[in-house]
Amino acid sequence: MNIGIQLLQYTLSGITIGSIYAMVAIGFNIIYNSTGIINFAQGDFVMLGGMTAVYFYKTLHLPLLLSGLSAVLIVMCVGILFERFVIQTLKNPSVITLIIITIAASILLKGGAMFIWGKDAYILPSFSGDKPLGLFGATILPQSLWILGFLFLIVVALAGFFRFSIVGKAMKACAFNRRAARIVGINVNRMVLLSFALSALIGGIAGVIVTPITLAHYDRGSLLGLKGFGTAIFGGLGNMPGAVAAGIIIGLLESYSAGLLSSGYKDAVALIILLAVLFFRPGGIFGKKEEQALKTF
Amino acid sequence: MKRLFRTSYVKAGLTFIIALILLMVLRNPYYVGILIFLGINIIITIGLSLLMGYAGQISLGQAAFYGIGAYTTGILTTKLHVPIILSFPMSVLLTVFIAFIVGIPTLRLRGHYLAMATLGLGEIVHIVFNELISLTGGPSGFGNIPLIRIFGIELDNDYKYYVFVWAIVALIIFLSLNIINSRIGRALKAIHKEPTTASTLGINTSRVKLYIFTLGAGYAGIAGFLYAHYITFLSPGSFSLGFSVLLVTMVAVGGMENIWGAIIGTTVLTILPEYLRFFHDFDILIYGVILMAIMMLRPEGLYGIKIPLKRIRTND
Amino acid sequence: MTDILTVRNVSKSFGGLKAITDLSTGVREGSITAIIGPNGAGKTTLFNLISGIYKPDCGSILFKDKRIDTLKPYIIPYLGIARTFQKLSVFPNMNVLENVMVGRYPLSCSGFFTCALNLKKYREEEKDIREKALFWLSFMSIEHIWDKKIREIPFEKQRLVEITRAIASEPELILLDESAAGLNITETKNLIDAIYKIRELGKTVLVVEHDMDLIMEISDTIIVLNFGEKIAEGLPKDIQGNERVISVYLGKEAIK
Repeated sequence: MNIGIQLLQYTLSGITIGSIYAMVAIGFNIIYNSTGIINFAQGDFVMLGGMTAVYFYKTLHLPLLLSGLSAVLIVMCVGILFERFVIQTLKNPSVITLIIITIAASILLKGGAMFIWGKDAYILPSFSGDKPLGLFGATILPQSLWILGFLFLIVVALAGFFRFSIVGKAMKACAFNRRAARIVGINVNRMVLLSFALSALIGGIAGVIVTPITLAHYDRGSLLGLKGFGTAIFGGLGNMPGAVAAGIIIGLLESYSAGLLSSGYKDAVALIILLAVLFFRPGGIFGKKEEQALKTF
Repeated sequence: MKRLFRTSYVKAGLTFIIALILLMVLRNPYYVGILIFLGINIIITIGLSLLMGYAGQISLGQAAFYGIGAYTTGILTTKLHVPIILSFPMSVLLTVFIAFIVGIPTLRLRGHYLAMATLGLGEIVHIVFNELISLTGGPSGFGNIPLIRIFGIELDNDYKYYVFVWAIVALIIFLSLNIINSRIGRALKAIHKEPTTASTLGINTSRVKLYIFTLGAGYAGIAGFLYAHYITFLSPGSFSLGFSVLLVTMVAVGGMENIWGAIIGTTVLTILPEYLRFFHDFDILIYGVILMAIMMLRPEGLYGIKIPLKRIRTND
Repeated sequence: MTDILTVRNVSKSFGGLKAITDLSTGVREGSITAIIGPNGAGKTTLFNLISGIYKPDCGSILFKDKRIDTLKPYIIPYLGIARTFQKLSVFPNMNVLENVMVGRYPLSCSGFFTCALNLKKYREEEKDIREKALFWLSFMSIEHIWDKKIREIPFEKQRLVEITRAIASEPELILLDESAAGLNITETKNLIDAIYKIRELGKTVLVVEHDMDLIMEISDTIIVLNFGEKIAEGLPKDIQGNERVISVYLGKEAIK
């Protein structure tokens, strides 16, 4: 296999995994935009999506489509429950308390998954078969196309939602200025709930569509969440198109370094980018110049 | 007045004496082993509580420093045959040095960003432990770490090691209490609540934060050293993100604002899993439930809670 | 009579907002000088510039003829400048005495090792810090509350603690930012007495205030700011009659 085709191969797999990172980053952004909270459990929403879908498919023998849909809905409900019963009930939490609470949620989801499903890794069948498609000498899995497709769908849907629907605009308003939004009659609490629901939904979708490729495992959430956060920060926290671009870039970098350098250190790539961004340019590559990221909320 | 200055000696000494009494009471070596781990964990969490409770920062990567301390002494003593008397200061110094270097850019961050940066750093170190196979033995780790020989006695069983560990715990408590009650301690508390005001009072907040971060890392490095020469085998699994998160959980559950809180939290979360031994699949879930419950019901932690049995000491 | 503090052509903007424009003024040593002006005039910004929290976009600030606007905030107290904050900024996690002891930070020097090892130097210095803190608390007549948690004492007393903390570092220039805000008449009188006592020690006091009676009574000089510019400077009686000042506060109609 010549180097050109190899590079193409890495590019394709990089875009695939990058799309997942982008989705996780979008999930972070949605909650951050409306609440200023960084949800440490975002990666675990993804994990939960995959695990639940496997459960429905393998154990309850539901058809794949129904399993996926149900899993996504369940994760969305988990997000809603978390917001309602945990976030809502906190009275004026300090930043550390908020951080630890979302960490607690992450631990709960992880612990729950481990308890229910054990420590094995599980797989879902690819949505449209495993036969790789040829592309200029390289191969791409059909599932990768599904992933790209879903990313596109999510981005378009969100863009339309935020731009054209009244609810979406209300959420944007909350992101800009909560007090003002409240004054003009926007139910801020409901917007916060919606943002958690939406983030969880997207996380769940990501989990379902990536499981055929990367498997589902109770412990996968944390690292994915961390990389997703790195992606979000890289693209500028709260910046949707930034998240997509950042995800693709990080996915590509990770894929190239895995292929060309060493696969063991590939996880470190996203982390190094995360640290580099935090240290040198907290606004992200597409974010604002001023270092608003350094301020606490 | 004089009493105030004796207090840190007394408290540290009392802790050691209580530990010795416990040792004489609990003959079962299994329990002794658990308490050795408790002591090691307490050393780390005291450092973490200084960082979190007093200075108001957070680190989700303490396991990395724990691991650096352990691996350094392990590698030095097994591969380079460095005598333990030297590998101890070398491990601690290396841990402290690395903490110092990464601390400089990291501590400029606050809140969630600091948390994520420390998470990322910890995870990178964990990856390095797994990948630098020639040095660390990779995922399978390496063993044959020599035992400590101190004052001519080889620490070859749990009872001896217990005394050694808890003597160090007492020392750490002594040092930490002294810091807390000093101008440095007040500076930390000032930085926690009003960092801008603190700087107008002459406190170089960046430097003080860096020092306390480095100190916490140093404590973790010492704990790592103790771990290495106890278990005599190291693998990356013990120094993962999960353990870093557990450490933060211990401090948060026990009460951040206080090193006794950290000790309580560490005790609860080290002893509890032993009671749940047979519930091995439960453990992460239980941690999550406990942490969630504490954060929602009593975010200041367990310390100071009025139990009919004992009034926990106040005013540290 | 020299100026202990000199502000030379200082400007400061935040994005598009010009907080201070080409401000030049001086504070005479040993005086009680007041800075007044409507909200948003730039008074606290000026304090923040002096404290080193902000850096001026241009111009310079001199303390005892040495430039201080380039220094980091934590150096400033070592030169002899202390301040309080408009939004009360005592430390809720310490008691009254400890709050004041923090004020002694620039006058002490035990480092990490000295403190951790409980060395003699640390013990002696700690004793000294404590004694001096108690001294300053009694200077301000609040030594009886030394062991109270800071949030358990009345607001007025908290303000006094903050001032005590500032004076405990034995500065030559002390900046009081709206210390009288929220105080009733008796409490304000206590504050005035404290300010006079501080001046008697030879210190220079620079206050930002809204309470006009207070200002007129205690100030040697008044500087009036409006929209970041100095519009008047002089003796209280001159400021009182200054038409521009009156119009800024009460509107042009008030002149008639």
